[in-house]
Amino acid sequence: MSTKVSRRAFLACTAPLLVGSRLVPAASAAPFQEPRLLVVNLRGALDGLAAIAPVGDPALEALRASFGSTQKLGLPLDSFFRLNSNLTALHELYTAKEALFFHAVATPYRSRSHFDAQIVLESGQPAIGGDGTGWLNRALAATSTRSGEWSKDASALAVSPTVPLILRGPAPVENWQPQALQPVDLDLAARLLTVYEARDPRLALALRRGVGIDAFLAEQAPVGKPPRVASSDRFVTTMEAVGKLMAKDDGPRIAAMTIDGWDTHASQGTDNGRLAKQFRALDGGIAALKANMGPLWPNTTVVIVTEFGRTARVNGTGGTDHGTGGIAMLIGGRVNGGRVIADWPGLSEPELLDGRDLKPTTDLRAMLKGVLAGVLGLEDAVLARTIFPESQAIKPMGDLLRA
Amino acid sequence: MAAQSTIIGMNRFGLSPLLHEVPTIDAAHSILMADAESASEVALFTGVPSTQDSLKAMLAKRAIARARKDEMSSQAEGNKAMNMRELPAELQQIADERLSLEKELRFTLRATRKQQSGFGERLVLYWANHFTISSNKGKVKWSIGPYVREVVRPYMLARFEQLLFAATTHPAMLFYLDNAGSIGPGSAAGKRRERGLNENLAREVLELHSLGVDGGYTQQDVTALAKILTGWTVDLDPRSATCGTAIFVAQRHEPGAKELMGHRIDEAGRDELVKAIGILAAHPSTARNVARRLVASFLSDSPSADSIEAVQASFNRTGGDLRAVTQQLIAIEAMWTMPPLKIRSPLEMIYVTDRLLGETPMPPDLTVALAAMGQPYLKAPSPKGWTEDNDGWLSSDGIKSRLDWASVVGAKFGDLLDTIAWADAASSGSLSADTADAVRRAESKDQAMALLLMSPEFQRR
Repeated sequence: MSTKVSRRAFLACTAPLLVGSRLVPAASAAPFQEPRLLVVNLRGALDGLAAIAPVGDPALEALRASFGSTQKLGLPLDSFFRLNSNLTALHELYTAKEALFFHAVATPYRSRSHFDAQIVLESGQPAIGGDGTGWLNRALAATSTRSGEWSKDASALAVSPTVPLILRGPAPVENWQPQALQPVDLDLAARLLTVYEARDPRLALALRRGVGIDAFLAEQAPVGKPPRVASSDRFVTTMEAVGKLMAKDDGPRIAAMTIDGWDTHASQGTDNGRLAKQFRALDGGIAALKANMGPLWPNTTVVIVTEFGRTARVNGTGGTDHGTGGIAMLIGGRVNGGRVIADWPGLSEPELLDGRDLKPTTDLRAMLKGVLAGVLGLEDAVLARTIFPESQAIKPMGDLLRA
Repeated sequence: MAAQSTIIGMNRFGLSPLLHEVPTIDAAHSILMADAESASEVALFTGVPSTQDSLKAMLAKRAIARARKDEMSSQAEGNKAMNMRELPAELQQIADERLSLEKELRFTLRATRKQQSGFGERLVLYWANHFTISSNKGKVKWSIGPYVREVVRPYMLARFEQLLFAATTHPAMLFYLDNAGSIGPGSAAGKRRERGLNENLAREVLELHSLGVDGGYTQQDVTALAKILTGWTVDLDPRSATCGTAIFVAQRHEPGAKELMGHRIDEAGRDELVKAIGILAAHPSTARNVARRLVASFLSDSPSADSIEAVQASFNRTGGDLRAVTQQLIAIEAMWTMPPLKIRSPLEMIYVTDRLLGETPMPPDLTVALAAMGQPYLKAPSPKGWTEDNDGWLSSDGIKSRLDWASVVGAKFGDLLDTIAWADAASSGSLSADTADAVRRAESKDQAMALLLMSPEFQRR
């Protein structure tokens, strides 16, 4: 099923946005481009250890034995880490120093509930609560009130049917979504099937037939053959469209979108199954974005975050459960990449948090602050008070971006 | 356990499995009947176009279209013809006087939220289906919205005879089942025009609306009733004071006495139908047909004989007093003890979701969503109406399409999950542990909302 962008929606998106207003000195050689910032939220808690495997840690092998050996698979990043073999485009960007990875990071939230963790991730608050606004919107609002650097009427783009928490707030936001009715989320169908099988066999039968769910559940592709991402995959085509939108002169400077489906409690399929397919969609999407950003890629920063990581050990159903420490990524021509930044805590039993999770050693907000300082020019005091309230103790990371 | 039966009964008769406070059974009965009374209050719908307004609008629109066409063709031919400016000024305003189907439904949803259980709307849906009209022809399209408001609501707790008469003679029904054009062959108009009898309405009145397919009527009865019905048509003369209403045109009416179900009806013009409806409403097969359909629709495809007989007896005892019949319906013990069996229709799911969210679940537009789920609004495939079987909506495609829709609702309204005290409902027994766990463990609130809507507790009643 191809994604159709309705012309009206497309125009509705771009029409009210103003062209950048920064004055360009006559002597400047390159035309001014305002930076582009895209936040991609991987909802469901991505397994950081599956995305970026710390193969240099001797405890990893035993923890993840039932997923297959991690030493042989994976694309090398440095002497300690390997990137999941399905993330080939990301690996190329890493080699070209346009991708920067972070490990053992987390927000201040510790209770392992998706709903609450997502709120903390998007609100930028130190805990549950807050005023119903998101850090990205507050960042845009703070930028707009400064003179000179940013066009005062710039608005942000939410690629979803409603404005997500991360973009709620005083700064103007446009909504846009490629299709009215999305194809069914197989993860949703699988969870529903579990309920039906427990309580209502006829509903279960109708669901199995209607959604073709058995293929999804069986899901291990033949060994040696990576699962193909169909070219019409929803995320890839969405990213193509987002790239085109953001590359326009009067396109949105800031955007946020979500990819679901990372909550891999069973049959995780890290290298060759369900999670692998997710990775390939993410990978294809980033490649599509880069291709469509064109000459704006050197000034683009993509932030990839997730609400928490997953358990270090494999559980009884071939998956992983909710954890704490995980990964984040910065990708783009503006990124000072080619490194993995991690204060590695270790995966031995005493080093795990609560005996089960990768312990976070870096607060995710440090990275986000560093990005906002570099892209939007926001100062430490504003970042510590307004964008990420009560975060004075968290220092913004430096050197994340090129000048 | 008393609480469990209340939950079962309130879900069976209402629009939600979530009970935040569990009333006693007696209090539950009162709530249900109060909601039934509330739904029949036509005052809910003041300011909304009537059948008359809507049909006048149709005529005005057609006049405008005709005038435009005439103007264009006369300009082409160089002739003088009716000038657009000669049309009365209010015509365009009158032409706009119809509620679209989308607006009809949204209006209804807002009114439904006032009911505590939603039982009143369940009754409206039931009777509107019993007396199905489908928006298939141009003229029906214009009058079908007001039909439910002007026929079903005011009479669903009155005497069945009144409901039957109002439904049979409403303009939408006269158009839908082709009675508006039915002419007695022996009538003045019939002799002139060589047009004749149309038996469609008569057959459906006997087969579906009153006696039932095994109610004991014959072809002769169908023909007799068709003759009795001749002359009943809709006034479409824009200059007439009764424009847009049902009228009896004597010149089209078949003369002579008729015999219906063994009763002789002397020639008496429009009063023949009054008498005929009385005969049909009082016939024992009607009590049986109504009781069987009503109980089956709420309880199960093959309800116990006891349940049907209780309702049937109430009908007979009170001369078809539907208020009494409804009270008897909700008093059936099985209604409060049998686990939920019947899959909710897509339209019911829209009502249920609207009630759950406190907001209308859009996008997509409701009529678009209903079409996607296989129940285009007010467009049942035949006069039999929508299926009332337990698993009537349980096709694999049906479940898939409502899952798609529930996903979209989740994506838009996931945030409202916190405001819906579903977790309390889980602990009070309205939701199973399986459902509550699935909702709690969902990947996101969007997914949680979709799971809640698709849970067996929400899907069956």
